Amino acid sequence: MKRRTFLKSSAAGLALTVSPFAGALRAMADTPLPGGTLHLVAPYGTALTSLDPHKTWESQDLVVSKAFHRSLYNWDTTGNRPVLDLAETVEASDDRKTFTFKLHDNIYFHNGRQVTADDVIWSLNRIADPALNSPGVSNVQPISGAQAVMDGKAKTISGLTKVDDLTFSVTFDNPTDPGMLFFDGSTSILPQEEVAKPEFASHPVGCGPFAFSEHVEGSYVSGKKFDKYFKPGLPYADEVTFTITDDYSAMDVAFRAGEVDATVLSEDAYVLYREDPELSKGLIEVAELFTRHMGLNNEMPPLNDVRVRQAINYAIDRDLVIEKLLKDKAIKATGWLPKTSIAFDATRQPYPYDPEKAKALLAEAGQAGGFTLDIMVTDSTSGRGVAEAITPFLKDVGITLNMTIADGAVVADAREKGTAMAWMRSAGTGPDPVVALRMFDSRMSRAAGNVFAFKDPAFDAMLDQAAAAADDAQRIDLLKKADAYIQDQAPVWFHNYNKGILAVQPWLMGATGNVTETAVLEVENLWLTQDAPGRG
Amino acid sequence: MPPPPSLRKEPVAVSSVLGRRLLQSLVTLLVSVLLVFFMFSVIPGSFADAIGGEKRAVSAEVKEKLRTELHLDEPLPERFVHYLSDLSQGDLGKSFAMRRPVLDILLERLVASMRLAVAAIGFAVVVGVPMGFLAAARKGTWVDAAVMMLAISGLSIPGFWFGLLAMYLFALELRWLPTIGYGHGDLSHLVLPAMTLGIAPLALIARTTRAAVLQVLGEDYIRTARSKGASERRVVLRHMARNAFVLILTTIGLQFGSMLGGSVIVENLFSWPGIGALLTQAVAQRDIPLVQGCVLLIIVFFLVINTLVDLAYIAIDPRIRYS
Repeated sequence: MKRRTFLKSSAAGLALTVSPFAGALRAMADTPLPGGTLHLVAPYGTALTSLDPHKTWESQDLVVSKAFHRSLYNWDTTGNRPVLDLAETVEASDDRKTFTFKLHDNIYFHNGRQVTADDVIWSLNRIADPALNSPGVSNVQPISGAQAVMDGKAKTISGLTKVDDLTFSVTFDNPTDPGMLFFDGSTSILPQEEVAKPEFASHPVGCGPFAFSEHVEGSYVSGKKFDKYFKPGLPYADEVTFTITDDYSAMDVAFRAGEVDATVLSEDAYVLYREDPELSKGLIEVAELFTRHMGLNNEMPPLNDVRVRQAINYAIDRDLVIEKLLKDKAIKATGWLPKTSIAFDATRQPYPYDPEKAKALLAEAGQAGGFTLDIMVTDSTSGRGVAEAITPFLKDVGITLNMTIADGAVVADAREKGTAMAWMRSAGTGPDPVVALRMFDSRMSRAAGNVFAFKDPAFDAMLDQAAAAADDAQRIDLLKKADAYIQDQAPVWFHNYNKGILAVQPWLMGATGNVTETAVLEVENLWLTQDAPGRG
Repeated sequence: MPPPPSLRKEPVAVSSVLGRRLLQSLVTLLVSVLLVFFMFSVIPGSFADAIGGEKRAVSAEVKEKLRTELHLDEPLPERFVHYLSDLSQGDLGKSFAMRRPVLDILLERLVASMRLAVAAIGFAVVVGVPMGFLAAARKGTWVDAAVMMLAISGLSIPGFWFGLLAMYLFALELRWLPTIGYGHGDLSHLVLPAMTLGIAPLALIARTTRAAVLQVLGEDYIRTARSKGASERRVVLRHMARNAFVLILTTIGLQFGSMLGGSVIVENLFSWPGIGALLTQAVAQRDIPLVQGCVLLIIVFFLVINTLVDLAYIAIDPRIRYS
């Protein structure tokens, strides 16, 4: 099966997978009305870290960044895959190592200058610059010669070649899907002359649908429609404002008061909205690319015995936890790769709740008398809440959960140093399934991502084979097998895939669920009906 | 403008107060700096561990480079010496996360925090002081009981809960005020956060005012003034209010001084772009220079307000001596 054909078919399949959750695709049949001001929310913090997308690690910043900046690719929220954005066409070599991109000829930065191949090459080089220490560096690292730049041994990435003003090629060391690397906001294309100005991080200039207008630190950031945006007719709205907050209660009241057009919801608010006849009409449910799990230190006895790890997976009634504690704002995990991953195997069954089987496995492993499982959690529903909920299930099979509550950085520190025995976490497991499964690669250190210290050369080989596969269908098939292998080896307790919930006002149209991050909306496609407050 | 008569009479006492306060403030600041630095340095987890949160994976290479770039891998005493050296030159360092000078960030946020603090203490004083006077004047009546019940409620209700209730009532039900945000600095956005931040100080000020007025009313000089035939207006304004105000001023000063630090919850709830909200984020991100900057600012504000209150004592009551 050819790559494009496969992508189309997998996208169709995924659309079906997502459709129950993206059920509120809103009023697409209506004709969009231009004008008005969008009132959106950046819901993950009380401040923005930076408006320079090459310098920020925070999802919060990238929610806003989407309005001002663009990358070579964009995440197609309906097809659920990366699609070309700034690039008009791409041609791949047979070995899938070299890709030649041609940019649209009508893309302009907000300062009026046309975007060229030089800008792309400069931007990708900037990300690799060790002096910048950009979080996007992992997205450019696979390009040939990027490592030399990152190590300070070269000034420019040798794998980037300009063909003409609008055309350039990117050569990777290994077969690669560039869409998975270059859709992320951290690879936005920026104008060098503006970045050189000291005020760039607070007054960004990009080529996105909205030009930066104002930023009141810790309160809001706004933008005005960019008239020379390269997509004709877009964006629909004249202005956009993001309120910066992380207080879900306040967001709930603001939404109910009609002050914001869309917001993400907490578990508690989700229950109330779901039961409300009016509010429930505006819910978009998104199976996000995150896997919530209890991480296990696979080196620490008795967790170094696969039977013990499997026993933990059999011992807990996840359905009950998801229903009662998480109010169904989650989807039961059947493996590491989430439901909206392109390598998700819909036919695979999750570990059933079987305490007798768990006891038998523990007995086989010499743990019939039980043991104490020390777990570090944050003080949150998905941390302490879940740990408390599973305590009686584990106790039932002889495992005593000993909980330590700490903040996220403390848990991360213990996880990476290998001093934690177990922990609760939501791990990003997409969109690239190879990257997601590399977290179990024996050759990866804890600091590099294998915090479980899972070591299995057989799995490494499976993953390498999948990554190197030239045929997409074969690659996906191998990844499914690798994920099944991980499920069987149970380096973690597989809990759930997060269900992000977006509440949308009846007057906001064009909103869709983004599996890479629910709060990231395609602002250019959003439009307001005639009666929207944003038109007042 | 010439200083008030009381200050003219006691120039030595004023300079003594100022000198002593400055010395105390310096010691307090040094101890605070030491505590904050070491607490955030010895607890597990660093900025490099916190970046990206649970949402975004950050490569080990980036984290390692960050540790080196931010000197997180250097010995603690060495880092502290660098920090003190920079601080002595007025350099609060650069925020790890925002990569900008801490001082610039603080100054940007200070305006919003001061607006909120002044509005909140204004609300507390304007409502609380008359309530206290009223309760004292109607001691033992249902008015007194009602005012004190309200005062206890104001002290007992958690700020975030009061804020949410106020939001529901004024923004959602009545639609009089906006829910969250700073707006463009307009007053309508200030009202609810100021009320929420001011409600506990209001209650305390009302209680203190009532107690102070009742205490002063029992003093000999009040009886003397009345026996000399002074009008009730003169007794209240000249003798009672002035003396009672020394006690009330202490409460107001302490409440105002602690408002920057106490605004954390309110600023977070209302998306108010002040120091409190900044501090929350900085702590979560382990952005040590920014945390230190916020804490220093909060302490300096408290110390300045307290010094001003001390000076105000002298202005109000020249009998007070500090030698």
